[in-house]
Amino acid sequence: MADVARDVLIIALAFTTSTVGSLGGLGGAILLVPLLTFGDMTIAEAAPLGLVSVIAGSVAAGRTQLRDGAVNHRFAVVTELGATAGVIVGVVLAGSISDRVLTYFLATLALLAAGGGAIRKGVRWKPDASLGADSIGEHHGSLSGVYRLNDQPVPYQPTRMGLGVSLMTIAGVVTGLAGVGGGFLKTPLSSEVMRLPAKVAAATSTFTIGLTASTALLLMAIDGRVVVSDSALVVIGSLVGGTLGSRLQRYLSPPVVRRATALVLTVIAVVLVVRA
Amino acid sequence: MTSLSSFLAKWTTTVIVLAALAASAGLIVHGDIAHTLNTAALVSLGALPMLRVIALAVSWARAGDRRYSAAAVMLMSLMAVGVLLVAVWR
Repeated sequence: MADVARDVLIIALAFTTSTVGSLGGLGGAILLVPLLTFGDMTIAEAAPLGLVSVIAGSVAAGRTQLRDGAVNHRFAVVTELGATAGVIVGVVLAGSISDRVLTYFLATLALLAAGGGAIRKGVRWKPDASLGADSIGEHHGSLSGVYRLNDQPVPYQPTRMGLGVSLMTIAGVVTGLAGVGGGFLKTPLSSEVMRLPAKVAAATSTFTIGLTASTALLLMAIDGRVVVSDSALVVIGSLVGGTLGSRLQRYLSPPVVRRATALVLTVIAVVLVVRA
Repeated sequence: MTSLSSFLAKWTTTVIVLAALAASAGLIVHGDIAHTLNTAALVSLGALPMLRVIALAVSWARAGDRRYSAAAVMLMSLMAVGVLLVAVWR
């Protein structure tokens, strides 16, 4: 009976954190891992489950986000080049900075990102009535695209890519050093620095964090740290949570998505400080 | 929805359904069969984001979007180097 209760609890936690994570493109691992450690799990045991949660949530949300044309793959690939290079440097340098200093730094970044998203009012990109529904998606040979907002096509063009990719690289170094996913930094950087619409930033970040988590999970599998029975429980909860989060995102306005993301970022900052 | 997005959404849906079925069946049965089913669910989900980048690189190359196709290939190469580097470093 205790085993069944434990299994149900893991599924419920994975479901909740993946719903919240895919709503704002933040991933859910940074919330799921501390929650799992409140039970009988160590961080070393919970970390692979966090990665499984991010992958399953990302894949589940991806289905809806692909159908909505909300993911900008070209933007994802370009920014992920910087972030991945940063993560490699960060992992190699891991241990050179005190965990406590790093955690407070991450919490500060999360709060700054939360503030940036919460303060901004209104919608940056406006609908264009001249565009048809067939224009939804990303453009050939460019980082620009069109996304759907309240059934209206909205064109957008990311800007400040040089600065954005540089900051993504630094975010990659920080996340590599700290051993956390970078979703909570990538989404605000994409929307507030490179001016991607909030929904496109969240959908694109959801894709890239799944990619990063797959690579990290492969490394943990090589180390023999992945418990497949517990991972399957997380897969079930996160597939449902990721699907629900992406559907909720479809019906919420950009300011609401930004405020919800800001709230979760604040919770993440508090969780980080409490863990430190 | 573009044909590439449609193709990716279709494959993503198929993998999600298969992974969910395998993980759910793994809860019901026990022993080696459960382990195999759970592993299949994990591997299929874990491989999907990387396969998506490979599909993007191929699709963009075919459409003549060589710059972004090259960026996708560079990303996969960088990830492979990262995995090797970290595996050796440990």
